[in-house]
Amino acid sequence: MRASGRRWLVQILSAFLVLADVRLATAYLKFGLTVDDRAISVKWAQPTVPYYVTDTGVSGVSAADFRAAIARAFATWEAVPTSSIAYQFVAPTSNLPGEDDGRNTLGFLNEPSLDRVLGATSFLLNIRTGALIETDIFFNSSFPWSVSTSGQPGRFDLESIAVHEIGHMSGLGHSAIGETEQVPGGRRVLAAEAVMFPIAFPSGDVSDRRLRPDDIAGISDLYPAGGFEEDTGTISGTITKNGGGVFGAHVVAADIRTGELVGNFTLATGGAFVIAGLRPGPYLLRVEPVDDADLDSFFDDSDPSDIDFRVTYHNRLLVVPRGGDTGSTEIKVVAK
Amino acid sequence: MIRAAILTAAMACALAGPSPGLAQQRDQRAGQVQVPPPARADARLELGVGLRWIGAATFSTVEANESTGFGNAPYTLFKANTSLDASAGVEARLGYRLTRALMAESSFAFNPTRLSTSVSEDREASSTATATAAVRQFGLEGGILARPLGLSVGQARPFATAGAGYLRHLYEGRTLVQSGVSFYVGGGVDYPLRSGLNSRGARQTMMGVRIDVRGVLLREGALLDDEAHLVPGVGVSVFVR
Repeated sequence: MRASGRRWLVQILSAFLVLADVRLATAYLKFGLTVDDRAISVKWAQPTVPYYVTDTGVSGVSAADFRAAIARAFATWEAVPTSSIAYQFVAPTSNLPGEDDGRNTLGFLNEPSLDRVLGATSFLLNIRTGALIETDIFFNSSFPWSVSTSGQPGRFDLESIAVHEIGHMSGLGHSAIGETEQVPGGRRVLAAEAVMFPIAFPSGDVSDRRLRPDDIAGISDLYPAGGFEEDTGTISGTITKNGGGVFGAHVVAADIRTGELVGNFTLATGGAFVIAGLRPGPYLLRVEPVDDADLDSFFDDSDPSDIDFRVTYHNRLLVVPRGGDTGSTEIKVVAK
Repeated sequence: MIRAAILTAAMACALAGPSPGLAQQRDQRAGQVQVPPPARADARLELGVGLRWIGAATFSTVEANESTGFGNAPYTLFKANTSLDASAGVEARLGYRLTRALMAESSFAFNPTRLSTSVSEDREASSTATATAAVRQFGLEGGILARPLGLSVGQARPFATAGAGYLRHLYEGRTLVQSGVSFYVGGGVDYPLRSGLNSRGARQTMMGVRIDVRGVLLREGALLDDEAHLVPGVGVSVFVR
């Protein structure tokens, strides 16, 4: 008998995760479950994920435009050479996203009450195995949309939002590699170096059509293509403060050869973290509190997240081996 | 005139090769027999051990950038400056004399060094930071040493060298090994500490001190970029023949 639970993931200007009857934790950009004290990734069991697209457009985006933009967004993820996941368009459908029809459906829904939500992903999964069963993505038609190649002022880029939502659809959580500032009514993105950052760039921007190293590491870690695990390595360690583990710290590995950033979080009260999918070589580790987005974009409300500490650099460069781990290291942070 | 001619002939014999015997000349005025110094010659093999210092290689500043959208200039979260530190190590060398002027030589060197990264201009941190990783550098080189014949500064003899080598960089914890190459051009002097007669009766330097100064071009390995880095190198060694 198959056990299931439905969660809605609502994001963009603010994000939250609605919990059901099991504890859902984001681990290394991945959604995960804790089952019998074991961490299990939420992911597709099959190598090719079929999807349907509603045959309805909105102002500025015809049904054909919508289907083409969605196809490009899927192709962006599929083009990652170190990832094995594939997606297949099945057919247009008159079904709407959110219906329990056994199909992965993408389409528009008019949700004016969700005035800070551009799009959302829901999923049905097996809570014993973490296998995804069905996911749906809706794009809020109460916002103006565009599929223009270079973006259109005053309209949100459909393809960029689709790339982000398809990341969730594939099992990725949010990344915290980004900077924001508080503005009336919410936060404004200053910069982001991950498509999976929970807050979108303003309307008219098309930057999030392009995946960043953090996104690529995440999808490759979930669905490694041949040789990925043998050719890359991991950094592991703990973040501590006053002798105790820090939960919810954002740990970023910076490649000192290129400046590329790949991040993860400490997701246990002991402060343990793992950053995977790194090419061999030396890395700088930077630890910061998660203060550029709402905590519930990343963690459960009940999680004891700690944001009272200063940005800290590890005093050792960690050298990632091929197909192995650097060996656990401890980074001590101090309160602000 | 005759004496000068005889002396000249004796010197010519010495330069041509190991002298089978000693040339004598009677100094009629002093009543003494002067024995000109035997022709100088070097042994075929030379072994040397010593210390080697290599200068630091510095890499371009790397920026940890985040996209700002709309094609605008990126947001630089922080900057990182990395260098492969200067290091002192040890060297062992084997040379084989090809001619009086040329010697082929190979060397093995070990230089413990360090990769150092200095972080600055972090948007959210008030102070700078430094992170390091120990690196062991092993070098295997081969080259040519050339000595200008007859050129000396007192007993010290200058020479020029050039060659190439293979580098291995082993990071701390043996987590990663990377290979690189090196090229060098330089020169130096060697100074005899002890001389003696070889099997043919020719005087030769048996032991001495050698000082090398060179420019070394390093590529790949633990060097973070695809560029060639020119660093100074100085070596002091003791050799035996």
